[in-house]
Amino acid sequence: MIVAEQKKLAELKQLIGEAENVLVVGCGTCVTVCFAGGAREAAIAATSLRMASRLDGAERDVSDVTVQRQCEWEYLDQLADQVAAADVVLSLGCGVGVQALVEHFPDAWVVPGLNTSFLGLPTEQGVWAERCAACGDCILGLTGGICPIARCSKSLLNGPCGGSEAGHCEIDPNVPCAWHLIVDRLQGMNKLHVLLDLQPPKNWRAARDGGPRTITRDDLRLAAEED
Amino acid sequence: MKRIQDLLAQIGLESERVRMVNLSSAMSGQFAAVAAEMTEQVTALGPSPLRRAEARPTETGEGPVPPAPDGNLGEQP
Repeated sequence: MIVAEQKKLAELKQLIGEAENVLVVGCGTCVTVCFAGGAREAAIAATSLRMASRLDGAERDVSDVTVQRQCEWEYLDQLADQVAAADVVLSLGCGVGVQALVEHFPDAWVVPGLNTSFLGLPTEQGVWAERCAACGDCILGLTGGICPIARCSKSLLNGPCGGSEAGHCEIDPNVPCAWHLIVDRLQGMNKLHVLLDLQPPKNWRAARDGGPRTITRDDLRLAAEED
Repeated sequence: MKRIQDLLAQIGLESERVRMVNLSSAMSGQFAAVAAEMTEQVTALGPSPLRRAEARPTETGEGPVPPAPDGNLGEQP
């Protein structure tokens, strides 16, 4: 899932500025699961902003609504009237959700209520950890299903750097060394020989280094049928 | 509870206004003591600033009614 954290109330207040009508828009997908921007968080954020603005002597009309997925325009249609009536839309979606709102409602002023952090999973209740860097050229089949791109601080491809200590990364003793995990796993599965297949330099053009990315599926495109 | 207390502080309210205490139904003595302590604490804090902010204006229209010495705002609008 996309993992995000809600910004502090002081920053939210700064982002909405002098707006009198504020619409807080939550998202029912990833950020609901990581307790950052779902229906409950949207309602709490709206209530907090109402209370804080009343204390500041500048009472505002702050309402909230949550859509199933903020990153698909079809789900945003239902918000048209509420967005049109708002001076500012405070999105509690990830960065994709914010931009989907902007693209779907170009006349609306949309600000982000979350800091979108990474692609990860909950390792225990209340703890999320990064697992994928969306590099566009997955090598998990070569590393026992443990990603050295996302989980090695140096994104090394052919083994540990030598800076790890007792299975932990030199940048932080709380961070497991991804290559230690990979070797342990391959050894345990009697597949250590996989690592003898040395990896050439990675093609980073498939990652963000190649600029903004697009995937086009002609078998799914309606426009392709018309062509 | 810590999150709610942090949020109250960010909003501008005293975080001491909310507290959660776990007590079983057999702990009436402790319940009474905690309730008395909480009442004393909230009374010392005075009326909620939110209630002050929405208090009705004075007869001369010069602003909200100041809280009574006992912390009671009296009749609300």
